[in-house]
Amino acid sequence: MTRSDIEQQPLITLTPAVSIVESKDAFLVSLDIPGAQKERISVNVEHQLLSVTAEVPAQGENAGKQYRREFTLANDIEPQSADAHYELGVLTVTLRKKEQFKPKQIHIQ
Amino acid sequence: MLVRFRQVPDITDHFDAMLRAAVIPPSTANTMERRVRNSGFSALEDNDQLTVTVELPGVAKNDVAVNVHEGHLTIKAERKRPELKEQEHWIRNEMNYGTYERTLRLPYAVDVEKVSALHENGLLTVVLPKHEVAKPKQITVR
Repeated sequence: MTRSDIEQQPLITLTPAVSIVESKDAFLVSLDIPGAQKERISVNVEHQLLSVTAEVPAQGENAGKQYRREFTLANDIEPQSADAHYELGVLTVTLRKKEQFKPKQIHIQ
Repeated sequence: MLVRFRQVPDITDHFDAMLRAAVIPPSTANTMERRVRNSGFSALEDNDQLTVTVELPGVAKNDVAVNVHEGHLTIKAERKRPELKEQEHWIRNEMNYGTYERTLRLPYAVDVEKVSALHENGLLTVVLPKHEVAKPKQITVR
């Protein structure tokens, strides 16, 4: 097998496990993506669609892996607010709720 | 007196919408077979060492223990369920929590003093260098 044959091996596509937590003003979407470098993870929010892709390159005899998962966002989420961090192989995307959808406490006078 | 008024659209609809297009399922049988083979554990041998990798996402370094004893490698790990703060609740959770344990019988003598383990980005890598007696040697034919 030549070097270029190895490089042309297809990636294995995996659907990462997800957990979603709702808080008062945001949703936290966490995905298991073990072994990725931060630079190889991409998080995109476009047209109410959150898409996450990540690549873990092949190592030795271990084939490369591609993680991919998409979520349609309901309209109470502020798409511009998304931010993400990666720790211990878990990517967490924070999606904040639009102001008018946050719970409010109303003081009765 | 305080009244809490929750102005959120029907939450069920909300997350149904969020999850409807959520999964892009791997569509071929071939992919399924590959997923099984890639269960997150691998052990690769070369002339000098054995490299064992285990995917342990969400596991803190302090919750991983690696032991080499009597020709066996044992890996123990615990993934703790995150504690939710007040006013937080789960919408969905597909992750597995609890303990992981796996023991591998080592196929040859390893140099125990030189075994190293690294837990990075949710991936544990244990490198077990072969003991000199276990390394392949080229014998010169005279």
